[in-house]
Amino acid sequence: MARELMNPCGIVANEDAPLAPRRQIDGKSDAGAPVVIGLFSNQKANADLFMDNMESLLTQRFGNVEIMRGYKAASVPAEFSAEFLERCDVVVAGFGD
Amino acid sequence: MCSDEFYALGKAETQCLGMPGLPIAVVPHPVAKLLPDEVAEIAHNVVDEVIRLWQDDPEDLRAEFKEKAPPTKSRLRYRSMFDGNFSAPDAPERVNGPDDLDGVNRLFYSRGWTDGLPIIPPTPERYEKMLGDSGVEPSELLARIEPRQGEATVAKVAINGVMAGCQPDHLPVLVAATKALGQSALNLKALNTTTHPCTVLALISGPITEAIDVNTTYNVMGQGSLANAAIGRGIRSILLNIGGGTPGILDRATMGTPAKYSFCFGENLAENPWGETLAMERGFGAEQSTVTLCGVEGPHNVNDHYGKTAEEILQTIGGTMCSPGLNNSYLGGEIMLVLGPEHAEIIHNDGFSKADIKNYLIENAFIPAHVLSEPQRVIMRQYVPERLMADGDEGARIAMSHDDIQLVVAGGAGRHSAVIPSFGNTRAVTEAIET
Repeated sequence: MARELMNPCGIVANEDAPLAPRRQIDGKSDAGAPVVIGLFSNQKANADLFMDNMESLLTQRFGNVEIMRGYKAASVPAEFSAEFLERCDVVVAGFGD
Repeated sequence: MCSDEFYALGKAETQCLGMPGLPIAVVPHPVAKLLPDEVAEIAHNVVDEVIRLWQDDPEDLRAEFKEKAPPTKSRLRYRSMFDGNFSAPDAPERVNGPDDLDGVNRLFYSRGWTDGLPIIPPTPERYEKMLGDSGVEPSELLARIEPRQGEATVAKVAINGVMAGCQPDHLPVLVAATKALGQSALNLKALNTTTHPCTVLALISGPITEAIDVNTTYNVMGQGSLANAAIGRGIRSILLNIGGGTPGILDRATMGTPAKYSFCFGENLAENPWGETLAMERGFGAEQSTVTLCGVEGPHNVNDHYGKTAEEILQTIGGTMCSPGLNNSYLGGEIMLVLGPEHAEIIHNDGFSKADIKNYLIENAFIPAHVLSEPQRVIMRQYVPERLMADGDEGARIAMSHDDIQLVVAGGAGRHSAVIPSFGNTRAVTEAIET
């Protein structure tokens, strides 16, 4: 026989926000305004070094990008500067260990 | 961007934050132990994926990442939170289950809704009994519990309380504790997802300790008290079923601790020689019942049977506090000192106030230099340089201010006290209990 039991799970909102539009740029030949790429480190071990490498690879690959670096202390919520939020076209943020 | 072991956490976060299609680039785990040229290699291997996630069609990416399941190298013990939809806005208030205790427990365990121990089936009858005639509004939203930001209504708290074995007179404590879980200073998102073995301690103070028989004496942090065991377990159930803290998925604790089953005890005001509980020190009156939540490890005992003065006992206590393996060593933050009544009496009778205790520990409790590795000193220079003495060559202080040390009196007879280190990046929060 079956019986009813109360559902213990808390309701979680299920929004499904769209992603931001992307702007295509072509290698070294793009002459438009630079794409600003934010690289945000959570400062776990090797995170900064990883982002250093990412910065180097992206600037080698594309001639028209500007890199902005951001950081957060371990185990605290991230806070982004107003400039970071306003200027970055795309952000690569590291999380976890 | 994360390592594959943390993909499930990232995916859950994107769902919680309303963007389930957010692209995530993945590198092999672990990253922390890699040498510089190995870090360069994994960056080189993932940059094409980063560029793809940056430049591909956003609708295609959104569809791809909404469907993408978390990779895993090992079999997860618990069912993924991504299976079933009991947390959706249109999820049923009631679910169908077997009519027998064993069957309910098999079902709930398979869904990842328990701590591994048998639960009390949350039948509608038990749920109504838990609410009783208190007049509480079941739909009242108390807090959103991190990391899933699940809605902790009075109803959901009552259901989890039933499962944990709580009695109706425990519900006001759970309600207050749930409100406290929503206070930002606690940093619950970090506590409920970290690799660190921390739990949420519920410290109960005031007249309610006697009214609902909260243990404040012998075996105060151990088993045997219904109130201590059930309330602590109820909080864990809330962290799991409302907050989403499933081990291996969102709860990333490497080692864990038995304190995660339940960690709840009461302050022993009757044997507190200073006549002031931690709750009173935090601004609440003696007649106000409160629950204080702290993000902590399990307790570390301090055995001192031979010290006869305050300084002799505090020297042992200070030494127990000073371990390089604590989060407190490089993140700072609060450490709780639970004085057993006999230690408290000796220290008090030697003329030490609570402030004197804190001053002594600030001045004399430091991690010795020979156990501070160079990598540990590097991270301490980054986060807490003020704690290093001679750049670590003379050790590192474990406490810098009175706010770093929380003093509690609890326990039974015997020459023992306890040190309870915290997660570091967390502050204790206190809520009044309304009865």
